[in-house]
Amino acid sequence: MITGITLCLMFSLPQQGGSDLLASKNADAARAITAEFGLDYWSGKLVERSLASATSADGKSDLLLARCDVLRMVAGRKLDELERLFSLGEAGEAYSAYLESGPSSSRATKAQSNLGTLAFVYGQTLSQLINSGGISSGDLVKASEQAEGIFKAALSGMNSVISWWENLSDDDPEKASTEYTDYLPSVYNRALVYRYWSELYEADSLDRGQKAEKAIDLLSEFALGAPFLPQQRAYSALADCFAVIGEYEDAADYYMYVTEQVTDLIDQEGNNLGLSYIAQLQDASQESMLGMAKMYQRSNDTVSFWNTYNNFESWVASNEVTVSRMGSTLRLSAATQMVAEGRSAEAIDLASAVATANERNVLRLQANSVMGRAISLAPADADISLDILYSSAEGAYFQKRFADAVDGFRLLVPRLDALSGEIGPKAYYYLGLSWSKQNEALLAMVAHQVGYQSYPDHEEYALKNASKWQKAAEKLSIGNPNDEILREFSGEATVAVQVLGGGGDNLEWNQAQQLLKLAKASARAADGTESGSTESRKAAAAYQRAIESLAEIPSDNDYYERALVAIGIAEYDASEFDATASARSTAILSNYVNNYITDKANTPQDPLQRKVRKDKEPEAVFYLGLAQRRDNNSIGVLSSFENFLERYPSQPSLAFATMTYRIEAFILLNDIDSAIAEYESMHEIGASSDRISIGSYYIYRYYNELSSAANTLEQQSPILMQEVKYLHDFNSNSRAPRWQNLIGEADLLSRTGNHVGASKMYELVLNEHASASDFTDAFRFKAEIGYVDAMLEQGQIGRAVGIIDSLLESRPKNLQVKTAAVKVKAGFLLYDPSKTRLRDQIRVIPGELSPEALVTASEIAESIVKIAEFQANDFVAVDPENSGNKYYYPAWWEAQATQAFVLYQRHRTNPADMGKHITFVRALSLQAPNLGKNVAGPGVAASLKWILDQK
Amino acid sequence: MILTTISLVLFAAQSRVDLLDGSKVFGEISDINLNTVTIVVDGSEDATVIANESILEVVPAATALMRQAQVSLDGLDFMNASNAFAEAASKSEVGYMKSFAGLRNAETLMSWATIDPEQYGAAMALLNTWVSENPRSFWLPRAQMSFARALANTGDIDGAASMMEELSNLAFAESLARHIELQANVIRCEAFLIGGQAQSAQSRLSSLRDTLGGMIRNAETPPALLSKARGLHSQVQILNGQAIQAIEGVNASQAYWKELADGESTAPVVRSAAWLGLAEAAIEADELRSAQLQLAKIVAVMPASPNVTPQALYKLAIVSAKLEDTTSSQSAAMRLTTNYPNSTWAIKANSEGL
Repeated sequence: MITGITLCLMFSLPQQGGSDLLASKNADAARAITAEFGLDYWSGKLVERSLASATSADGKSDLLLARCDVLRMVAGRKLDELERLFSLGEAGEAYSAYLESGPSSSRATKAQSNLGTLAFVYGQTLSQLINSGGISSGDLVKASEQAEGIFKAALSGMNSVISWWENLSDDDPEKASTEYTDYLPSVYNRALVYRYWSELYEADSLDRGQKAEKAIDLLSEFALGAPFLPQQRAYSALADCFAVIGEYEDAADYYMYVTEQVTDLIDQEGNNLGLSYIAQLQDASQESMLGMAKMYQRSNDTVSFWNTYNNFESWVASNEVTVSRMGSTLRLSAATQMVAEGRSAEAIDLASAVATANERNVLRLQANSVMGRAISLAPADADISLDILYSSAEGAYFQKRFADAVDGFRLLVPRLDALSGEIGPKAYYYLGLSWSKQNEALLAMVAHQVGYQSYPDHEEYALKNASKWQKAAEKLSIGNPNDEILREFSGEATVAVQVLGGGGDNLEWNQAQQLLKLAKASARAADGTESGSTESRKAAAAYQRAIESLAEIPSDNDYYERALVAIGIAEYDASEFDATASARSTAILSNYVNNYITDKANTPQDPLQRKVRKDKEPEAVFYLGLAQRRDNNSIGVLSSFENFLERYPSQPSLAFATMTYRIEAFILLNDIDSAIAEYESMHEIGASSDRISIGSYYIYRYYNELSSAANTLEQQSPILMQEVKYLHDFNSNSRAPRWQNLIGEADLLSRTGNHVGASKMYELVLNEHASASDFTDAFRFKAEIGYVDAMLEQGQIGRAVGIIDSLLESRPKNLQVKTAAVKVKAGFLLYDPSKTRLRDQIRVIPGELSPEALVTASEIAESIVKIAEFQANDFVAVDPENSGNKYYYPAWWEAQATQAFVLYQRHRTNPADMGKHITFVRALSLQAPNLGKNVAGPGVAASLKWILDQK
Repeated sequence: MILTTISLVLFAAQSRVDLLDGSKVFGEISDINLNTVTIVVDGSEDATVIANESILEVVPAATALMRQAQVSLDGLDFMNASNAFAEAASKSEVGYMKSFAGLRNAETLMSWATIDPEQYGAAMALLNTWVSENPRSFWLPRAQMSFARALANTGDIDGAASMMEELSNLAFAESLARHIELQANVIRCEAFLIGGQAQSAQSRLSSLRDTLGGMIRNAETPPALLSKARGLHSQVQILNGQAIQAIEGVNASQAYWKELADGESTAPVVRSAAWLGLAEAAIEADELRSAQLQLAKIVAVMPASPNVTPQALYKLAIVSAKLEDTTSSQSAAMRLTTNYPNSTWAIKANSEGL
């Protein structure tokens, strides 16, 4: 074993260039922040910020080196060996990168020196991990690769320092002054790096042998000229090297030589030596004995191991030696060996003594770890001090070995009794935390529960355990809203916290809130179920539990006012499942708004109370209106929501909602004018589109019902105009208007004669919504035929041609399709009643008019006539005598006009059909001289007359 | 640096005799038989003879092979452990070491049999030979106890019960240590329970409980014997619960388990068993959440025990899955298969795809 620390003296700091003094100061400050205060995060921040603002290359180089140093110091502090190893590795790689960046020679020397120290610690850590089996094969491969890089860079650096020193002339004063600061440490550390490097290779391998031999050569050379103490340490290190290559006898000789030399010197010169020097000598001796014992332990020579250990203890006792870190480590090795031999009780005693003697250093954690292993081997009822059990488990917890901590605490807690009041509750607390750290929420929760229940009176940890139990139980209960047992379990935990005075005012509030959350979760589960279903009843019961809990919050509690309002709101929410709840909600909220708030005794006294009032009053008024709405109390709604925005200007979104409810209430009270006035005021104050959309919907619905009830076209027309206006407002203000509503709007536009608007709306639907999953074929047909009709009404066939061909394919028998198809194929006549002369009244809209189109049109026109004749048989006329008579059936006359127009178009294109349209219309006029004017309207008659006139 | 507070105790690989008064004697065994152990204590030239009635256990110094076997056994590598113990027995030149290593081999096979019942055959054959070849060995009672357990587990309840009755008589006749007779009687009850003779077990357990209770309350009971008595008392309490469960059903045993669970002085192992009993009753009553919380307590706060923890983990995984608490279910199943891979409960969990 080798102590590098005493030999790893820092080189004297090179002079700074002075070109970026601030950067240099910040670099030193960052080192100090980490070294002195351990504030690694802030030192890192300082370096990063300084780097960002550094202006010179020198300044940046200073800071980059400081970053390497900070990384090294942080790594060196890590307790976990594996973590330390990889952190050192990162720092080593940072130094290597820094050196490759070509820093100035003084900075390079400093970096090389620090990298040398790092390489020594890295090698030592890796060696310990390899020998203790504390590194997995995967990590070992990774670490070995990293180690090679670090060792090579460190050796290169140390060789540079050594060459530089050796090249100095003997009379150069720098040579003498740097011998002990630069040269010897580099020579020594260089040897140690080779020694640790050798351990990366398999035992008996050539590489191991070569590296170890190199270390032996270098150490021998070093020892020759070194003073006594470094010389003994070098011999001890030599022995380590012999041990590494399996030369145990040689190793033992060197180890014993060191011990003997030290003993002889103290025996002979003891009176002349300072106490501090004697302690250092004895430490060298302990290091040597530790090295020897470890060698025997690794080679499974337990007899020699125990002899070495026994000699050590005898030497300590007879010479009153102060046991150093090395000696304590040797004792821990003995304790570990005892564990291996199943001598748990002795191991526990020994490790415990080491832990006690090393209260404030890392050995305590190692001792705890050995104790933990020994304890786990001990019989369940072995008589082990509770303090020892606790220290061992706690040590594992703070070393983040949470699984070991759990094992340790589980061994401890069943042994505790009521008298273990000091460590008992603490043990359960850390047991719970240890489970929690392993993401075992359920196990953590019950550990805290048992901890609290076992020690409900402990000043500090009873509440800590209860609070952890309560929080976990609450979370579990919220996740399982219908679990009665969990609800009770959570309630028990809350009571525990309350009993201990924990949680403050907000605990009661939080508990009630938890029950409210549970109620809301139950409500979600009941959503969509029938009234009176099990789920509904559960939801209603859950709300009542929450309300009861809220009601228990006393009036002197900070949350009392919030609870008052929350009760009213909860009753409103409960009214979804309990018809009687809305009346209670109204009463509670009304009492709050009209009595509580107005009572001067309840005037808010501080900013917090004023904030609560400011938030809760509008909320209460809002829910009061909602409760009244649920009870169909429209007058109440109008009253509660009157001038809401003026009263509560900070609540615009609630205010906009109240206006929509007022519109609804006015309509229910049959006061459409006030409803419209409210709606208009929403526009005036700039209400949100969403709310305007809802307001317009209420009004649209009103007109929709009215138009459905209208008996005549004259009555209906003005209503339809209103209906389409509000439906349009509804659609255009909706965030995502539904295509069904857009089709509805298009239909209404068609019905009100706005064919341009209708065709645009149909086109919009077909272009943007036809791919919707619920856009069925029936809706597509409705939109397409609506679009075709609207285009034809405008005298345009354009895009209608393609659509109608497709519809003829898919729905050849549909009368609406047929009617439209004839118009598209053969053209049609538009009638304008505003004109007086027949030739002005009729306008010809041309169709496709190809021979094929006319053939199709003829066939369809004939079939339309047949359909009309067929339908006419069942036609019921106003005058019963005319029922069943096609001459009194409007659709028959329309079919005749269509047929006549098709004949006219054929007359124009096919000589064989010349004059047939005239013959056809004349025949009709013989039967009905006014050409159905009284039956089908003037348009049909005018069209037929116009056709008759075409020669 | 702090001055050492360690008293100088020299350690070496030595045999150890654990006495009922709690003390230990280290040294080299020169003779050992059913009635006495003769040991030469380190640093002394004289041999000390210790009568069986004062001894709790004798642990001979382990040879390298024995240590190797123990390491394999600790790692549940039964085959290599058995081979190493067998080799240790065959290579040993000291008679008592030969027999001790042979017994350890048989005990290894018994441990193996708990997860692979086919090993009972080999274990019984070895124990049968061992008992006949070592009729006056110090470890005869220990061998017979293992043998009786093997017989009971393979269905020969009467064989097991009569062997333990004989051992009990022998212990009395030869003035062997008190715990041997008591332990033999506990194993006898265990055998009755395994054989479905719960009534026979219960009446004897009741008497054993009184005897052991008396020993525990007696201030003059030597410390190590007291510790042993406590262990046996716990075992009796658990077996009694199992007997009640077998005779009167799971629900009827609830009151018994509850009393134990709530008892301030209940030993940890008994409390674990009581919580397990209560959890089983809750499962039977379809109160899964109560069962889950109860089982979680066993895992969370009780020392890991190969007898209780795997069972608790298995049931926790099942119950949690039924409660749709997949996190807890998967976690318990993973702990079970990782920490107790060879337990019957882990094998069951694996076969059920838990």
